[in-house]
Amino acid sequence: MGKDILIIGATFTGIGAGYAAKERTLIVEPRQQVGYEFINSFNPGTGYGTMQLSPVADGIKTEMKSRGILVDDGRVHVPALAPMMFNRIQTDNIPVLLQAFVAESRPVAGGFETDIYTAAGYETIKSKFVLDTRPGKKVISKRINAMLCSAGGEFSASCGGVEYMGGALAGEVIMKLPVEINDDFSVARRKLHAFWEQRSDNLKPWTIAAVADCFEFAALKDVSTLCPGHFQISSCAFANPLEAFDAGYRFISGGAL
Amino acid sequence: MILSEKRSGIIVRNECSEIRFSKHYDVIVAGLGTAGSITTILSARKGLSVLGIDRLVCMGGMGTAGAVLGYYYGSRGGYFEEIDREVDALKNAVYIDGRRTSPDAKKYILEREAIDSGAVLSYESTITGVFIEKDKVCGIRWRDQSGEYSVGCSYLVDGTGDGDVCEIAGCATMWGRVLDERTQPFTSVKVMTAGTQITSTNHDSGLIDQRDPQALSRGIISSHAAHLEEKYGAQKRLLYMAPLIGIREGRRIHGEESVTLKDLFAGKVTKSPVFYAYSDLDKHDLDNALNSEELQDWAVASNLGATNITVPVPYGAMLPKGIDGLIVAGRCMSFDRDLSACVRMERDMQKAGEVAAEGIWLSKKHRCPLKDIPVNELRTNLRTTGCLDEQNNIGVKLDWVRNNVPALVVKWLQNHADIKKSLATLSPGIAIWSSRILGKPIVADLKKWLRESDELLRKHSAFALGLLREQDALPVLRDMVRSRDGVMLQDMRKHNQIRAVMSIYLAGKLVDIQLVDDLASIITDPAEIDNPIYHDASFVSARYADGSYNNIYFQFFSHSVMALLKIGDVHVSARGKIAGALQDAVASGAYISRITRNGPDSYEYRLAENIGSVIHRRIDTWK
Repeated sequence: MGKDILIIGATFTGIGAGYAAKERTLIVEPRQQVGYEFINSFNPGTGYGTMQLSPVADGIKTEMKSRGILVDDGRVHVPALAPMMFNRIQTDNIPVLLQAFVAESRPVAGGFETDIYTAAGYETIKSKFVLDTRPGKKVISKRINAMLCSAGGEFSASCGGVEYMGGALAGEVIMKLPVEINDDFSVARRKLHAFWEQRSDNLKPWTIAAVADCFEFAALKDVSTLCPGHFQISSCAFANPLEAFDAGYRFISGGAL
Repeated sequence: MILSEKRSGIIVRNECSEIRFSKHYDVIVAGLGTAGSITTILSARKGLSVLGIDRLVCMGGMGTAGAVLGYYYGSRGGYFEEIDREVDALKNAVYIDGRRTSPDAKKYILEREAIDSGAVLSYESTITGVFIEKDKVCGIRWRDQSGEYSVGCSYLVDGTGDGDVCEIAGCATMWGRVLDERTQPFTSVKVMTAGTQITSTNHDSGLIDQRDPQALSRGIISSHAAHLEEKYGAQKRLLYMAPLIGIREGRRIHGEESVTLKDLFAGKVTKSPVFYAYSDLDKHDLDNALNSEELQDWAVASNLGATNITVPVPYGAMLPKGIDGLIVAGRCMSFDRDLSACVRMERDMQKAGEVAAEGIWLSKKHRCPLKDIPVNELRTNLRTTGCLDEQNNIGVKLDWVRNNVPALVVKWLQNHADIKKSLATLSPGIAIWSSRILGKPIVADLKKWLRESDELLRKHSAFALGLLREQDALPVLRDMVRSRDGVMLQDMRKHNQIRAVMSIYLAGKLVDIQLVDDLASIITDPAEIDNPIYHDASFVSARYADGSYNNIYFQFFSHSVMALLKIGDVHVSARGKIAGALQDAVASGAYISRITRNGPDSYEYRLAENIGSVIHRRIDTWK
């Protein structure tokens, strides 16, 4: 199996890179999800009104608006981005291989060999370039988020260090709890549980509807060259999914590779 | 020592005597899903050192990440009930209320129990190799985000559901339906909140062979894409697409003991079960014409497809043949394909997880191979939690037919008068199957009832006789085919059969050469689809209310095809005519467009397309 550019992570940056060069790329992703660094971390993002977008990203923004996923004041119903992006990947034939663990990339003559582990076991993919869009070592901080719900009523709360963010739909409230960078999911989930169990009385009507299964990372926003031909752009570093998408799209379409 | 790995779809075994394990665990559980979670917790509670690995970031599998929010049958009793009580206590207090469970509460409780009991968990990890020495598993190779490790173990639990670990270890496995190697459709689940309730919706998303990475990936993408809505609103607010698709069927091991549906119907079951599985044969395939004869006798000819059955599960069904130190906990246990559709419900898989932990414990205690543990001691221990409870040996039960119809534990009819009375109703299923059990002694009466004026008695007696392979049934069966008898029987809450379709199946079973022209006409005549029976709105499910798929026509078409193939198998002289009709029927895609308007990636299209493949393969064997 060989491709010009192997993209690690079906993140928004990875998908954007895939859009820029469908024929030359393969996106490999261990999860059964795409764009999870925003969608499944329950991080709607910010700054939708101020961006200069590529035509493709602008098309995604238009579709978000038409489906009620992005509203005029910039709030986002982020879970609905999942079926929307799956539909785009299918319709636009973006080459994504889900449930593919990435084991190792190593430089060889003419590019790289990357071992992946799929349902067929180990396989090796040859490519001229590798673009890694995972958080990598650029993480500055992280949060575990949860969708809240209640029978009704306005949400009103503030608590040191914890952020609450409204989504596009009525009653859509996201809680963002900071955790340590080294906390794994079992530790973070336990902290979130303990925090909500001890919430104040005015928050008692609100329960956790869903805990994110991906951390929200803050990370350095730059293009790193890990070795010649092997680049890293952490998708989670961007303010919102569209900006992350364009980072990948412009990196490839700008002729860097 | 041998390292067994999978590379590019092939199992590769290499000597590796130089390996030094970085650590040794008593138990490694690969796959922390429905069953593996329970094995992990209970093994750790017994003081064993346990490593649990999973490719997701939580425990619980389909009941948590897969967002199957409630139980569908399975037997009550066992350690999992304790977990469920703790989960229930968190509902409304911390987590949203679910219909019967809250996935995030369950994730939290399972994880807390495992870690507090001393288990080590590794998420986003996968097993890549199995170390084997003298036919005993002694370690694994696995990887997480940071690297690959080799660790030793005394026991390895395959909790992957799909038998992934057994395959890597080189164990023999079975796959899919005998006829075409197809498996049941998988689901993609969408989770939403409505008020203070969590809810979900799912549908049969399609057919995939999850052993093929490209097919798996395409299936996930298309199934999630199919959930896209025109406009999103707050009434049922989307929370997430389940990060784990619902795969109902995969590899099944060849176990130390195996159970088939035929054995079960014949009463050839273990006398020492470790638990009782309980459900209907929950087949989701719409192409039931391609299923085994045993299953079609039950579900089509007797209209009992949604009847619940009890399956006594032998311990040996969890032990892959020829290898020690390896036990499966999950739906890959050693059942035939028909029973695997029943022995896969979450309650029962949690019981399997408990049995695995208890089996390992006894193997360690008695210092014997897993297959040599004292099963009576195992059963005694399992009774203490209710995992094994003889009261769960319900037998056959009509659990819920429709409102105001009480549940009924089925006692097969023996008295001919009772059978006659039941055959003369629109719910004759129990009488038909009772006749099958009685066999020859009832044949004379059934033949007599064929001549009665009561239409129900006459027609339903023909079904019973057909099931007993009595040719006298054929004139009545032919009439029902030719008149396109559109009466749908009423035994079941779902999957009720139409009499003409039942007749086609039985005519095929009886290899009735006189029906060849009629069956050929059903599949080749373009005007057949204009028959009102195919457009009866009362037969159309809500999912296909838009007319995108015509299930009634598909049932007539697929059963006619299979009946013709059976006739051709036996009547060599008719093969030319039959082959011609079958090839005409599928020569172009016109037949598919009569069945479905959905595109080539859809489940419905692939069902229809597969009929063509089945025809070509079988006809090739006639040449």
